[in-house]
Amino acid sequence: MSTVKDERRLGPLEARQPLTIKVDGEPVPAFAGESVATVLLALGRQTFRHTDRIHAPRGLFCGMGVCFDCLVTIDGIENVRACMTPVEEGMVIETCCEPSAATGGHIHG
Amino acid sequence: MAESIELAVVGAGPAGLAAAGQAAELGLLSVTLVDAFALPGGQYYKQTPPELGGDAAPDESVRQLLAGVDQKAVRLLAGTSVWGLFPEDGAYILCLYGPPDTPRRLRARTVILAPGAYDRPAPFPGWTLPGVMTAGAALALVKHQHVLPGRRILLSGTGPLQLVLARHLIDAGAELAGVLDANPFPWSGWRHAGAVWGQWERLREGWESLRTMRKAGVGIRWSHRVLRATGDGRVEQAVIGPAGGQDASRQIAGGQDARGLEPGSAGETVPVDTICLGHGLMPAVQLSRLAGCEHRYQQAQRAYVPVRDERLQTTLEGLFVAGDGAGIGGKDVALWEGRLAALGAARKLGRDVAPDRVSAVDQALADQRRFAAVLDALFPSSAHMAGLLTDDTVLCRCEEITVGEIRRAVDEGATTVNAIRMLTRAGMGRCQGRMCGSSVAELLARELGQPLEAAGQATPRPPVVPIPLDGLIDNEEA
Amino acid sequence: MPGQGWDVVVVGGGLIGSAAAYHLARSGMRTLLIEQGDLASGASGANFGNVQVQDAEFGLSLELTLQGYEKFSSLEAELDYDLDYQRTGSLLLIENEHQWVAMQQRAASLQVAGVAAQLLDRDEVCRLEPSLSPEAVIGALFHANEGNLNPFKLVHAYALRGRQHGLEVWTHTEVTGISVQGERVTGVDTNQGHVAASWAVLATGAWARRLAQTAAVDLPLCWVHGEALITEPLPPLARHGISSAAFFEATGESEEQVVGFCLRQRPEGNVMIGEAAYVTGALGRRVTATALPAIAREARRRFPALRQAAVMRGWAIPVAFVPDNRPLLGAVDEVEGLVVATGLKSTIVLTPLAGTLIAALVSGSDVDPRLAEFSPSRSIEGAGHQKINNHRYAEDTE
Repeated sequence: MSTVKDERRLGPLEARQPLTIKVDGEPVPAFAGESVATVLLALGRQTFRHTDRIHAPRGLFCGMGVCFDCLVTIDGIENVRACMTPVEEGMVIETCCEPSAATGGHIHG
Repeated sequence: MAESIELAVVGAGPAGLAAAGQAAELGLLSVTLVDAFALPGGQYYKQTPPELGGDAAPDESVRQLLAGVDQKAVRLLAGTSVWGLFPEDGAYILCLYGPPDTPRRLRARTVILAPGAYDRPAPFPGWTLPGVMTAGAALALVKHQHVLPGRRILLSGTGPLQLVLARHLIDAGAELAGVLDANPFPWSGWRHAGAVWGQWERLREGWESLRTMRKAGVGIRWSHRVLRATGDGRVEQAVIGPAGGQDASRQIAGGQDARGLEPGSAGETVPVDTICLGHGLMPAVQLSRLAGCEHRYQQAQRAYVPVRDERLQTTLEGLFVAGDGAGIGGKDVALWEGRLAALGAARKLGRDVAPDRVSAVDQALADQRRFAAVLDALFPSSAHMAGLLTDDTVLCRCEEITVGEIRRAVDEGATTVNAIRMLTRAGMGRCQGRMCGSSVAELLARELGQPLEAAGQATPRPPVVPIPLDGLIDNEEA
Repeated sequence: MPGQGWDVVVVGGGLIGSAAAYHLARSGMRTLLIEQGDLASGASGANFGNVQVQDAEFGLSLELTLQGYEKFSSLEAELDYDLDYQRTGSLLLIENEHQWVAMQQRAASLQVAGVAAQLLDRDEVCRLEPSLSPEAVIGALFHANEGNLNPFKLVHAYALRGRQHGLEVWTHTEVTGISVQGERVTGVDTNQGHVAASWAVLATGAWARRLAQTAAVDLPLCWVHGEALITEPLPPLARHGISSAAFFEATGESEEQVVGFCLRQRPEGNVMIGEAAYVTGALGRRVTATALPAIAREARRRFPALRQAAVMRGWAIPVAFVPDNRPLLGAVDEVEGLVVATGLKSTIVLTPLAGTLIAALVSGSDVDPRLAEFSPSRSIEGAGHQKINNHRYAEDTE
């Protein structure tokens, strides 16, 4: 696992249970009890997606599941709220995709 | 066939937990407590996931509340959303969606809604940039997810909740670029000494926060707020300026267009990577609106709230609302309202409830409401956002509808929230108008010079939270 | 302003009302449009936006529908407003042998009448709509010349352009009655006072029945409580407007809630699905606890990909119909100066035409005498008559 230079996580990590997950194809640090949003923010990632209409970058806003801005693709399912979803072992997370040409759904390379 | 119960409590924050616990104590036999989150506690008593434990245990009162919701007396349906509430033949049908094996329908003779509140959206140019988030989001991240939301953080909002956030962020090692309170220094606070008497825990908390801030060299800048955020793909700078009263544009130097500030108007530019907005809370009235009980516009809080009698019953028999979902009062008001609503529901169900029990709760509630009123008076939700909006500010985040598009619709004759919605699609996205409804109404009020109530209320529509199509179907027919 | 005399008051700010008001104002008449809520907040706002020919009754209705359809190729230019109009064609799904036989006959009759209707087998349908479950269909009737638009924008455009021709629009104003003196309309009563006018046009959908009663006119009008839902934006799912041939099988609207399946995907990707309906005398706008699951069941068996699609909202509105499947469109016999325009099937395709017809009626121009077939004063016999009576009974007990 890569060393995180800019550690955003607080407190001792030794007591935590590490999980193996991928974000945009890369393995990243994650711990049981964290939300997907937390994992991304701990990476220093603030942009989770781009909007359909004008491709504007968006990230976490309300943190409690009411704004629907923190949407990412998890295990192939699109438009899942990162702040409301706990990370699980083996999870595959995709962010920041180009909107598809047709009706604005997301496609992933 | 929906399962019949005596009481459904929606929301497991302080109001819901207190209501369910009180109901169980009164011997109500079938109480179901439903909460959308995996762990009960709502926002005020949010729990740190056990896997991330190691931080301070939840305080005693929370532990007591949770213990009071004994599994045998109260059934807790966690991770479950209530998406519909329908009065039917003297009872209420609740439509639920949760993990497998969760009932999809309940028929409750009485219902206590304790849906709480969410951070008031406070739009300004650049507010949709990644890195701009609510104070609630930041607090949950640092306190319960043990992660820093950013490195150089600006707080813009009002009231003591910001101090709590500031303290946690400083303790976590973040650099605070500033703590801005949009309201002036509470000079008149001394007048409310009577209401504050006895609130020792609160005062201690506040004092500790201020001390932490002073040690870090961070002071509160009164009558200031963020005016706009800029950056390439994420927030990199915040422009700060005077907030002042009801109309920011009056106080800011330089001639402005009557409808908004010119780009680059006076203000101080500060480098940041995160902005936390704490400009008040909005009661979550979606379920109470859907049920069809009467609501009224509460001027002091600039929000629609359900009309309730002194027993917290709405204009629909057997439907009660407790806590922030009926108007922002804070966690202690929520606790006592939860208890009071449970006493009311029990009475409705034919249980004997001693009058002095009710008056004891009434008394405690009155004390807490007095304190909450002080905060309302000293730190009103910022009313001056409309003056900051430029035509290209996105107002409806979900559908990406700009202030300019809404102004065009107003020019073409739209005068209500619903008319704007039909014409521009503002409010038709996934958040179902939570993030833009109040802003649209305020913009209309300003553009048309009309009182805010003239903009009307958005038509309530189920499901009040997006639900997968499969999830709408009743279990038996799945 | 109360008291000011108008040539014509149009009651009802939906598709028909706004179109009529626009044409009336353009013809030079002093026109006032009154709407009880926001414009398009009635059945017009619940409308999927289909510009369709598929459900027209043979005879005069179909003839006018085809005429009406032609107007759409130039409507955006005429109103100088983007209506999101597109021609996508539509598929009437055939789901059993009985429907197949019926649609075969219908296709033949339509072709004779000059409508491009083509019968497709299962394979052909599923090639056109890959997301459709092959188990759910045995074929479809394909209508090439059908389209859709945004009904909010259409209503808005008519009102906007109408105002530029002198139309005045009052919203959030309730018309409580039609005032009549000596068998002649003298205006309407509103919750803001009396409005004097020589003509009153009722374009209020289901509400027309109660309003007409204030002028002692009994309209043969019924309505259903119709409900539909819309999902989050989805990747391409259905390229055409979708409906079910079961629509033609129905013996008439039921007092039990039934779903007449229809679906359309909006340009942004959201999928609208409907329609749960039951006959009622009540005028309500509340979604029922049973409508959304009923629609969900019908949707997922035809389009399994919808199962995990997030449903964002449902809506409900009274939708007017006339038991003999022809509109109420014309002047009332019993009272001079009263025009009724409702129960159109289907509404949008006939909207521009209805607008011009109403303007012609009111201004005294010549009108096709065959329109007497749509007279609001006609009597409806047999099963239709019974339905009206039942319906009235339901209303009286409200």
